Amino acid sequence: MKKLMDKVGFYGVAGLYLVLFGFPFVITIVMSFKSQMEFLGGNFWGFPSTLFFGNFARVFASNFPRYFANSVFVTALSVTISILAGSLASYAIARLKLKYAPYLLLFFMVGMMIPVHTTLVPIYQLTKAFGLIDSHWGLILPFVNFSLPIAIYIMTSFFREISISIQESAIIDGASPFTIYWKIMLPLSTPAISTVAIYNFLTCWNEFIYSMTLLNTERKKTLPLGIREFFGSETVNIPAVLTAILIASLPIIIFYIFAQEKVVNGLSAGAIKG
Amino acid sequence: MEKKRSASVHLTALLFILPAFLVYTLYTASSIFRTFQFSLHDWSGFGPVANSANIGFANYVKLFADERFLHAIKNNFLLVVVSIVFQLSTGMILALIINSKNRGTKFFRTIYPMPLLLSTVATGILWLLMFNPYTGLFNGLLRIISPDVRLSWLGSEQVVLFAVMFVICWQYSPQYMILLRAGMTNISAEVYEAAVIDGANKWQQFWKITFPLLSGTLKTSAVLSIVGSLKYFDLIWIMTGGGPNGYSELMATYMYRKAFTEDQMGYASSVASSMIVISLVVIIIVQFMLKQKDNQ
Amino acid sequence: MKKTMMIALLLMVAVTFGLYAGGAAETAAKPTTTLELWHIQVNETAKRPIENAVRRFEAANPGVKVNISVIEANPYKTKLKTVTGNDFPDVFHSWGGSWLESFVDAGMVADITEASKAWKDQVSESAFALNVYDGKVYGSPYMNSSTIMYYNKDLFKKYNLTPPKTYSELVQVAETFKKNGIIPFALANQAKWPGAQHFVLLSMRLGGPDIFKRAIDGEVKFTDEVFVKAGEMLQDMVKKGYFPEGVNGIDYNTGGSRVMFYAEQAAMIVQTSNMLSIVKTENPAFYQNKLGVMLYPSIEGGKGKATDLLAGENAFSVSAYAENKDIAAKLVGFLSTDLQLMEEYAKGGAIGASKFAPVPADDPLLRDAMAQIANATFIQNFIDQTLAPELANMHKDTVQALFGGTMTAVQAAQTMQKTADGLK
Repeated sequence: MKKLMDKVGFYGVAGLYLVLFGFPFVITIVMSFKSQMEFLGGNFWGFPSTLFFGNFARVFASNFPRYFANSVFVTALSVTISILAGSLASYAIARLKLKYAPYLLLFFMVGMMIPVHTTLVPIYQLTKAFGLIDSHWGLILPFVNFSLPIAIYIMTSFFREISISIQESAIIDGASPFTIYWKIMLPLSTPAISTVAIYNFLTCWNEFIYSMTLLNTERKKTLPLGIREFFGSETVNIPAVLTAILIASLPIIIFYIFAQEKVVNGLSAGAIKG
Repeated sequence: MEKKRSASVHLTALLFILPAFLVYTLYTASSIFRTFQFSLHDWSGFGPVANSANIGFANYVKLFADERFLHAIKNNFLLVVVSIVFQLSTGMILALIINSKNRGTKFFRTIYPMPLLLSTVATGILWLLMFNPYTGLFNGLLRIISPDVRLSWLGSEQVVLFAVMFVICWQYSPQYMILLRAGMTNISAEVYEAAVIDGANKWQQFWKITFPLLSGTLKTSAVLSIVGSLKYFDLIWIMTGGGPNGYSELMATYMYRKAFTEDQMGYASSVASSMIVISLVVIIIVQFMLKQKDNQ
Repeated sequence: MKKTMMIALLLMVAVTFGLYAGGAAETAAKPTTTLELWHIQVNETAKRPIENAVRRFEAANPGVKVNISVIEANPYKTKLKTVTGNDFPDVFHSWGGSWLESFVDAGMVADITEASKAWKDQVSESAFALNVYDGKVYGSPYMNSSTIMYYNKDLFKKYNLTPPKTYSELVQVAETFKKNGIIPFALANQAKWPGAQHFVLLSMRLGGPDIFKRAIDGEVKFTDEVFVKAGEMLQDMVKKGYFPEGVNGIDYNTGGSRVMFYAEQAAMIVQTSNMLSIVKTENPAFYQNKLGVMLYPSIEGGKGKATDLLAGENAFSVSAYAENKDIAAKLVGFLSTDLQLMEEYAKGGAIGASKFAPVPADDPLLRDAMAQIANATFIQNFIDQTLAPELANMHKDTVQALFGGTMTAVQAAQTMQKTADGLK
């Protein structure tokens, strides 16, 4: 009986949260089949009277595939580089017994405290000085820069929690720091790396203001800029914009599901502690 | 022998740190320096900053007497408190749900992060629609109880900040769910099994095992939540523009307004510099306090 | 696992490189001049005509290539304030007035006084004047933009009402609508500027159309009784229920007020002429059958007339960093005067800046809107393009506070004056 009550309680709470966190997603899907005229005509929240495919048509008629490819390129590189560089630095801070480690960590953490728009003008000027305006690498480097603080902060804190005995036995076996890092620390930190990957992917995938400022030509635009095209001057075609966002969100949703598997599978590796 | 090892360790450390350090110093450190430089000038943002007058700390003097800015700081700290309380607790509950052995957790795991994964633009638009006094869902639901409800969630100076904070918490709770869940993977199943054998119920398992063993992750989450709240920009800008009349203004939106709509880049830079200093001070204090707790 | 993830990521990169290679075809002939044109007309009704016009310009000027970049208004402002030097577009959209003046003062805009002599008399004078500073010309309009009072013809007919010409007539109209459960004015004031139009028009009707110019010049103060009275009238209208409730929480861009207007829950709305093209696209049936256009009523005893207009422009300017300023200026002139462009604008419901812009025969609303501009007794540029940016923001904030009832008219006026004093 108690077990039944427990289950009811569990699914009750879980279900409530499901509705709370899931309903906008459902609404977005419903909206994507509505025409703007029907929406403005008063049918805001209900199901469309007829299925309207114009929103999807508009999305695919635009340069969406191109923007999509650009976003994949920029995001994939930014995430990969920031995780590699970040985990290297995190390992050094967490495990290489450096006297200045806390200061170094704080140094990187400052990057988390900077409001997004503060660095817009300086980074623009820097990118211009490098001749990287209107190029994807001109975008990737700042993205890596934005991703590093949180990557280092989270990975350092996870590395610190991994039992030191593993590292010590590896050192006794004559392993170099790099081998320990590559063969031991990284595999053990899959949950942390996956988490950081999700955060950074999200940040880079949806990033708008730097993409808009640093890119000029149509061919180079990323998805957030493409979505912006569905915004009008003094008007927003809400069903069309939501449809565009829905389609643009698919990769990040897929990536999340994929990365979450990694987090779960890290369960077995957690047998180190306790 | 020791000296040689020490030198090689330092060289290794240098190589490990170098890639991140290079990019970060180039972009972030130099930007902070430039921002500080801008803040010492009476600069509109047009033309090179060198052409404008160097006015020392005058911008900062003006800033700390600026009512709008002081109000914004208050709003930011309110957001910090609300965020820590609600985002972390909700994230924890969600993490527990998806970590449990019950069936269906895979489904929950996929749906819960939707607020985070769906772009902020969509979130802003949807909630703007939901808060509409006439056609919005909220008032629509309230009208079931009492008809003619026309609450202006985003138009009322008293309520606006809370309405947006609700959406911010809604959007970011899944972020902590992911982080805490990752932290939970470090806790081995055997510890729980031993506790169950000892007769501990779920409640006790949480407070005596999960919570303490997650303290590291919780601290990380708290720090992330604090810095995120202090520099927060997006939804406020989309949903209220800082209004009405500055009641939902945050430091970051104030900075943006001054820099890009009011031709006061120098002054805006002093806002930005102050934000960084405030965040740094808060984080140092928090880290210090957390270390104290550790030592107890 | 982690290696698999990295391989997967690298594969994605490789695939996209492949997609890249496919689309990397460059144009064949090397143009002698390339111009960068940036504008904000994201709506299809204006975007296509401009693109067509640019292609015609290229055809008429061989060797010239124009790259068009369309950015929505708000990000556009941010980007324009960030880019410098030769990243600054050769030809760029501007709102004239105080907005362009900041760029002019910083030396970023080219003086096109000489070049503009070739076309300036083909262009609407009032709009053209908004680009002149110290007698020099720094831009040329391509579209006119004005504030229009729209109304629902059917609703008026239903209650036997005619468009009010004076304020007391407006009160009668409003009271009739209220009695019948219809909100007199639709309004979505979250972004602050929609409601500010009411305040500005009331001030102009009370104190004469040049009241804002005189306040800027310091001839009158922002605490002048005209502004206080305008604020009081506004709050009176709010109290009497002439506007929707919670007006400061309703957003215009996402359709908050238009929805009410379409659903006939509100009878009138004061909005920009841009709304013509929006309604034409969003709700063509409403545009054809129910939409009406009128002048904002005059106020008895006030110094302003109903034909005094709040109107501004969309203009193009030439960058001071442009390599070939002559061709750039020529393009600006072309976009200000080309008649085919004006005709295509009109089809979409927009008002071209050329004096000879064809008036569409089948679009009485556009005709009326254009007539309002042509016959205006005074044209005042949009206030947020006239006041210095900080003061403009304060103006919008204080009016929003008036709508929300959190400031009195006197307090609003005093706050404006304080900000104005702080700018000196």
